[in-house]
Parts: sequence; structure tokens; C-alpha cells
Amino acid sequence: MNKKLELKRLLIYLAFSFGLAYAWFFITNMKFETWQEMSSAKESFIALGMLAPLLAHILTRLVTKEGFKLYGKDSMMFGISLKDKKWIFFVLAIILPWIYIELGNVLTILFFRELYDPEYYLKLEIDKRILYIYPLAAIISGVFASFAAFGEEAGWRGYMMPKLLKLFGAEGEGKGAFRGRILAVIIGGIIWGLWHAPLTCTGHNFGTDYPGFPYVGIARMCLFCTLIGIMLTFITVKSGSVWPAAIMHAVLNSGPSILNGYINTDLATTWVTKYYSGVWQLLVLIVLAAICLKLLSGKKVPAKA
Amino acid sequence: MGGLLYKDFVSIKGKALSITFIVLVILFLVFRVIFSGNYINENFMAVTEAGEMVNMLDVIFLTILPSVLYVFIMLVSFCFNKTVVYDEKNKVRSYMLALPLDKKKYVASKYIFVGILTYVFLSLYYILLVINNAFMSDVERLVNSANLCMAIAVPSMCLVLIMHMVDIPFNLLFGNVKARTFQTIFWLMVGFAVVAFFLFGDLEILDKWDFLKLIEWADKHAFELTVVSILSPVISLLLFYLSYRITVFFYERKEGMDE
Repeated sequence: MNKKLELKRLLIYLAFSFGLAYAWFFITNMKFETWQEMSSAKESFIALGMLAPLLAHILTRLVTKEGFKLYGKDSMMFGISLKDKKWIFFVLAIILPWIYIELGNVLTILFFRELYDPEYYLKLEIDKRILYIYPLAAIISGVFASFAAFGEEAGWRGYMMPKLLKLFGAEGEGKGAFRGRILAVIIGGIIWGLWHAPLTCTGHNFGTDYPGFPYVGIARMCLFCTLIGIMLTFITVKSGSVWPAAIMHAVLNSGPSILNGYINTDLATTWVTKYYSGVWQLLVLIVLAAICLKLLSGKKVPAKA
Repeated sequence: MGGLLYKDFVSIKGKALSITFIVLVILFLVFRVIFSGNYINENFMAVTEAGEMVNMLDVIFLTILPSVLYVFIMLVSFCFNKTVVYDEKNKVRSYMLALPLDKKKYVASKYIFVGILTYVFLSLYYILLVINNAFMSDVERLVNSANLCMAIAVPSMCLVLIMHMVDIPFNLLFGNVKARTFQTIFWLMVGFAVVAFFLFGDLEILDKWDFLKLIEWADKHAFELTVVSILSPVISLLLFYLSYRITVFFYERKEGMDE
């Protein structure tokens, strides 16, 4: 493998991806409104920037003449194969985000009791019956409207991660390969987190009211992206397709949870519960990411991913 | 399987079609930016029953969008039809009989192709809606209408799957000519029913039709609508899969006889 060439290709991809997305985020929010000030229509419009990594992937392949193979080694990984029980990864993609969010919420309620508000869903103007079936609705809408998440995953998991795994020698076996995998997912997560920086600066994900805004938010986003990135890389590598990752990302974005309707962060009395109520979700995410990293290292990583 | 799907993609001139749609989306974006709802021109303003000022540009775009959805539904059908005509014209099935290829795969490729088209057109529709909503003035009635446009997307695409649940087996088992004849008869009957309604039906229903009432009804029955939005894709996908299994069963018998 020519490492220099792979690095050059990766840098071209990153230039396209960051350039296109940052330009989009800037053009669509020239007034520098915060996420809280925006209408939901404008939020969705800005979120179309999620298609930038897909465009960057296509443009990079055009520039580098890598071809547009849909499945297999060095492909775009757009194809789907359900052979060898690979359908399991689709099921995991649907269920994992729900499990992670709900488990995190259970821990939040257990350890941050003050945030538990049995009537919070009423303030959200949600019918209790809808609250109970909301995760299913979120999963269905996530799967059907996964094009935006597909836009991101096609770039990050479909192009960047295979290149990083190659560059860090993560394709083989042994300690060196394992270290390579860890380095690849950490660097990939940081890049992905930094890509979100313009949105984090507008208050997307964490709001604007926290100490160290926006730098702490960007750092938190990098950490979050690293952990989620491990899970997404795991299912992409194992399934050989970016579709399970796209579905997982879409389901995660639609936030399937019942307990969210019972956690009211306005009730926080200490700075820990006010600014770091999500710490328990993060803990669950760390455990899940560790499991995925371990499973990712179980067998030799195929060259195609 | 990938090869079969690629054949279908080529037969509908997929590359040209993709470029056309990308250009159309960009054009729509340009038009929406030029004719933004936030641009207030007194000649374009109208007042609703609730006394809200509504920009007619927004109304025009909101009227176009559901029609676009139904154009997309027709396009899925048109593209599928084109692949079958291409296969019959080029004797693809006879050629495939000579290959060590599972007959199931040919049938599956048609179902998957329709599934992919449905997903692509649904995504395109969402993109158009997002663009439209971003440049729409923030009037409650318009926002409600836009939400309704969003809400009908998935059930409409489920309708596509249900339509093709019948269309695919008809085309594969009886040939394109017979399938088209059946489809024409079906739509003619629907057309006659509409004409009969206008001739002999109670047209007062149309006078009583109130869009606001529909939105109020949707607000009141939010739970039931959520259940429908969950169940309709699941049920239609299950029926689609069932249709695939039945078609495979009959197709294998039919091709076996042809052999």
C-alpha cells in the first residue's frame, strides 16, 4: 500500500468535506443565529449540510480516479449483503441507539433524582400514549428519512475510516494492528467532531449556556463523535456496507426514548446536574464503544473496510 | 444481484436521470430563494379567514409540492415499467435461463429496484420540502400545511409499495402488455368513478370541504395518526415481502415450464 498516496487522497476528501460543509453552514446562517433562535424549518435546511461528506466522497473519487465500485474491496460500500447473518447489523443499528439513550436515562434518573419530573412530558405537549410509542415512531421515521444520515456516513464511514484504518496499519492482527485501530477511531472521531464545530458554536447539541462555550462543546462533540464513531465503524466494517451505519445515525438523531419525557434539566440545582446531566449517557456510550472496539479487534479487519 | 440492478439502472438511463434531478433540485432551490415567502410584495399578499397575511408565493409552492410527490409515485411506476419493457425487448429472461443464475434473483432484483426507487424519490421529496419550508413565511396555516405535506410522504410511498405488490407479479407472470392492459382498465374504472361522481354524486361535499377542519382533526387524533405512521410502513413492507415470495413461487413454476 502506498501510504503517501492514501494520505493525499484522505486530505483531498477532508478538504472537500470541510470546505463544502463549512461554506453551507456559513451561507445558510449568515446572521449567526443560535440554534435556539432558529425556526425548525431553518434547522432542517442547515442540516442539509449533512450531505456534504457524500458529495466530498464522490468528488474525491472523481479527482483521484479511484472509481465508483459499489461493493467489495476499496469500494464506496453502498451495496448491501445479508449473507453470513449480516442482517444482524441492521437490527443492531436500529436497536443500539434506543438501548444507549434509554439506559443512560435510567442511570440519570437513578443518580440525578432531582431531574426526575413525572409530568415533564405535559410541558412538551406530548400525549402520554404517544410518548410510549415514540421510540417506534422515531425508528420508523429514522429509517425512512435516513438520506441525510446516509450523506454523512457515506463520507465518514465510507471513505475516511477505511483510509484511516489503512494508514494506521489496522488491517492486520496483533498488538500493532489493535493500536492502529484505536488511533484510527480516535483521529476519525476528532475530525468528525471538528466538522460539527460550526453547528456546536451555534448551540446545536449542547446549547450555548455552559461554562467554556464553545470550546468545551467542541471538545465534548469530539469525544461523543469518537465513541459513536467506534460503534458506527464496527457495524460498517462487519457488514461491509455504510447502510447500517446510516440507519443507526438516523435513528440516533431522531432520539428514540420514552424516559426523555420524564427528565427535566430545568430542575437542576447543582452545576453538575445542570451542565453534565448527559454524563450517564456518555458512560453507557463508553461501555458500548469499548465492547464494539473489542469485537472489531476479534478478527482480522478486511481490507475493504 | 448487483449486475441485475445495474442493468435496470442503465435501462432507465439512470445516470442522465440522476443528473436531471440534481439540476432540478438546484433549480428549485434557486427559484425558492428568488421567490422567497419572506419577500413581502403587497400584490402577492392574501388574507386568510383567520386574518393572517399569507404570501401567495408560499401558497403556490405548497400547492406544487404534493403534486410533485404524486409525480414521483408515477415515476417509480414508469421506471419499473421501462425495466420490464427493456428486458422483454432484449430477451433478458431467455438469456438468463441459459445462465447458472437463481430465478429468485431476477424477481428479487425487480422488488429491490422498486424499493430503491421509492427510497430515492422519498428522499428527494424530503429535500424539496426542507428547501421550501426554509424560505416560507412563518404563518401558522402555512406551517400546518407544510407539516401535512411532510406527514403524507411516508404513507404515499407505502402506496407505491402496495401498487407494485400487484404490478410486479403481473408484469413478471403475464408479460408487460397484459399488465399494462390490466392497469389501463383499472385506471379507466377509477376515472369513470370520478366522472360518475361529478355527474350523479353529491357535490355539496366539496363545498363543505374545509382544510382547517382536517388540520384540527389531525391535531385531535395525533395518537391514532402516529400509530398509522408506524404501522403503515411496517405492514406495507411485510406485504411487499409476501408478494415477493408468492411471485417467486409462481415465477419459478412458469420459467420451469418454459424450460
